[in-house]
Amino acid sequence: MAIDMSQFYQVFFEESAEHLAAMEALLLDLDVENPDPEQLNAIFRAAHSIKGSAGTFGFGDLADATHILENLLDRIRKHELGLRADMVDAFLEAGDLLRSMLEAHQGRGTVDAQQVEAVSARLRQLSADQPPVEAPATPEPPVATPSAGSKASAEAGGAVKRVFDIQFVPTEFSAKGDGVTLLLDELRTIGALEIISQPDVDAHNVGFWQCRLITAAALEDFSDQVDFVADNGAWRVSEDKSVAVNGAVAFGFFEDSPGVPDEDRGYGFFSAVDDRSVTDIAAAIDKTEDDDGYGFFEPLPSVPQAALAAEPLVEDDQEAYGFFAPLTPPPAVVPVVEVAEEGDGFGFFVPIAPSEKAGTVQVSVQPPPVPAEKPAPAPARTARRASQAVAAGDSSIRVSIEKVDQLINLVGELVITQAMLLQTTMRMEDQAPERLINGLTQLERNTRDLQESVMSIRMMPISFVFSRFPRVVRDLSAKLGKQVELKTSGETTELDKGLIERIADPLTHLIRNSLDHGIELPELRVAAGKSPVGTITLKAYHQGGNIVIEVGDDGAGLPRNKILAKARERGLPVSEQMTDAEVFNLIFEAGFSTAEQVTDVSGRGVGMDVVRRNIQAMGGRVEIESMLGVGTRMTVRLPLTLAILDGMSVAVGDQTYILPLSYIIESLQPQASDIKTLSNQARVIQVRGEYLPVVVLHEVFNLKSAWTDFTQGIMVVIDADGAKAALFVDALVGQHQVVIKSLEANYRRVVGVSGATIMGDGHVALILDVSAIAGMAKSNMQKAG
Amino acid sequence: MEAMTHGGAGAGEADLTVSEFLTFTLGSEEYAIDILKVQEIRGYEPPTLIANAPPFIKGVINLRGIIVPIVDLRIKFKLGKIEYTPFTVVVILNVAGRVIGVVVDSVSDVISLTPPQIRPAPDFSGSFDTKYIVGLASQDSRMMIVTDIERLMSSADMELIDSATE
Repeated sequence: MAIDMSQFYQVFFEESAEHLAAMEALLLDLDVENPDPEQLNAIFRAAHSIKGSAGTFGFGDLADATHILENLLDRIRKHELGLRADMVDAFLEAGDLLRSMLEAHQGRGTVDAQQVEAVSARLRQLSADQPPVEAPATPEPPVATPSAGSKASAEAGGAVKRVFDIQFVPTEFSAKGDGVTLLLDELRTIGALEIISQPDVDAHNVGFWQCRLITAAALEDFSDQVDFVADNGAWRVSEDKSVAVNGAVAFGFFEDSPGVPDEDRGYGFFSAVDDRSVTDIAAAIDKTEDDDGYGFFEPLPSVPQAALAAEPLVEDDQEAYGFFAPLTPPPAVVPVVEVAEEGDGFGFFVPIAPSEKAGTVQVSVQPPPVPAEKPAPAPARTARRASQAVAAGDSSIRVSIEKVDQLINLVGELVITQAMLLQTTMRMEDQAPERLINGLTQLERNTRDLQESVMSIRMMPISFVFSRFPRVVRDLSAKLGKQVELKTSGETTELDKGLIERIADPLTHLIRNSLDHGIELPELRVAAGKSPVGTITLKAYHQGGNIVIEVGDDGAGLPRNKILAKARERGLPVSEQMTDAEVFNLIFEAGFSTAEQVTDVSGRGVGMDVVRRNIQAMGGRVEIESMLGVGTRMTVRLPLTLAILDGMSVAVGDQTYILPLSYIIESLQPQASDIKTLSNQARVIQVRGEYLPVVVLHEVFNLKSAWTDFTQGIMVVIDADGAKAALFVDALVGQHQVVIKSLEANYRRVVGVSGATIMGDGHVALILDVSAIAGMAKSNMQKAG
Repeated sequence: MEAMTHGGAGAGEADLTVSEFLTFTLGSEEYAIDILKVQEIRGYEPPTLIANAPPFIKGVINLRGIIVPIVDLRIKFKLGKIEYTPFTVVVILNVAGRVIGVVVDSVSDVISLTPPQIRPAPDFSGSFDTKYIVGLASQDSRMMIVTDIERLMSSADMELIDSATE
């Protein structure tokens, strides 16, 4: 069955990127002195998952690189090696390398082979730094645990070397790719490997493999790796103990079963059976001759032909041999067992098979002892599986953003249609049947709920962005020789996915800026009476209809005089009278940098202007507050989403416009005495002792207004990026959440309009571009002045 | 589009290609446009005004959630009698990746034309600049101006699309 793997590549890329991100976060969080085993395991699992899927998808280079990383991680998590800070660095570096390899596979950028080699060499060297602790120190493999015989034999033999029989059927991909080769290489590194049988090379090695490994390593050390190349459950690793009663019989059984090797599924079953059976039998026999133990096996033979044989077995308390005899003939059991469980926890399901297949035998008697019989291996294994599944599966799905947008659009349409229906019904007044009205009211509630839920699909916690900064801070502070602690808060604050993606770069830049310019070197900090460790705070919270993200530092603060001097040098119009905010805003000018020397972090004069432009493009703004010697705080304000907006609808003539609520400070009905003119052209209004320029919307937009008399209409005081103005409109209509639609999709940009929306009656209302309108006021004033 | 670029001249297989055209009237003139550019035809409803737009841009309407600008070609071509009645027709076009509504006096019918039926237009001072005219076609006693509506709508003087310099 050939599947085009490329269709899954995207998923692989995304998953791997996620694993890498998780790994990085864990690494950064790791306490080197006293690492949390759970975290180590989680890091290992992340690497392991990447390796596994990289192998599956045929990205050999990725699999190879991760393999080395994984080996080292594995040894650390098993306490064979102690964790050291330089290892964390190496891991982070390896993570970066993997990320760039992933990107290269996605067609972005290339990977430097030398770098790959360097990182691999470093990891290998780290791995070789300390001799591995002898095998006994490693945790006892779960399969071996219940089997007293295995311990006994190991101890009796006086050697730690053990013999494992490994059988597996590789998946098509690992067989055709490097999977199997990798596995074999890997096995060779931990012990002497003898390949007993291998499938036809012509058939790309797809088929049944049987090897024998003599090693000091524990089963767990390589069983996972076998699991990776093998089809679901189609692998088996068992310890071959000649001491153990009937391993030979078990093998005989396998080798004898004819025709099976062609069937992958069959192996899944057999490996599982045997895996358990060998150990179980060993356990059963090595322990006291336990009736219950045999009872456990008893239901197995209850396949039709074996039904008779089964009966005496129980009563006679015979040795386990009886068990195998009936097993061999009935391949009929195979599918049942296989379906019931993918090999694990086989024992539990045994009773099911007969009860379905042959109800004639008294199956019901025996099940209870089963859990008691072998509690150790099965739960341990399933628990591990379950935790892996949780880690990998998560409770989310991936959906393309277009689909979500389409959904949002459709729901918007539904809301409008619903509103239209409601209006029409209302117009019918008394003639409208009550049931219709009730139904429509319910529809209204439902659509509103639906709209809210659909909108929330796009919302993501900002931790998606914040999570990258610990790394940025770590790397940069090391590079700059500074000691910096990053504190974040409000990571769960949600905002639109589109914004999340776009805010990442500007925020990174602000943080780099704080690190480079803000935080001083440790000695300077100490001299200034501060703690040598600087703090960068990253905070997100909701405020009104906005999300506010603050990047603060307790560094040197912005040097006002220096900025002013620099601005003069560059010929910018500045004066000593400028407020601090105005002076600080100068650093957003293109090409402006106060860094005395260009470092590789910043100071090239690019960036802050881009930051501001990007934030403005998102409908947001940046403010800077700073105090010399105390620190700097940059505040980014963004709308919650690009798709909806809280707006105030205002009427001008017969037209309705939407004003974004976040820009509105207040609205008032002016007194005639409040309004003055400048040079008989520009008008200003006095609001609480402040003179604000007046923008008359119907004049700006050439509309017929209901009111030409200012005292009849409403003045809406707006604040756009610090520029205040009073906007004269006929009336305030109401407050809505509106869905922003692009005007430019089918039309051109319109000055003073930032977009459009559709009102409840199906009409289009334009959304005013408050900054542009405030700008108009300014230019009016300048003309007049 | 293809049918239009054939122009009047040329022979061969292309001559046999029949294209369908939607015809509409503007004043006393009859125009034909490629039917594949037409998305739908609907009645006129008062659009939302756009500030400081040229007079022939009536505004924007909501077409099932999309904001669509409405152009009144009668105003653009100064055809005098401009009336908006319940029967005024808006042809919704899909041109240059955009959706644009065009107000016309009336829509006549859909006709089939082969490239030889479209004759090159002489230099004449019609409402359209000749560069938007594919040619002239006649059927029965009617003469139709076959228009490259895509080119017309994306032209700078329609002011529908941001020009690069803006």
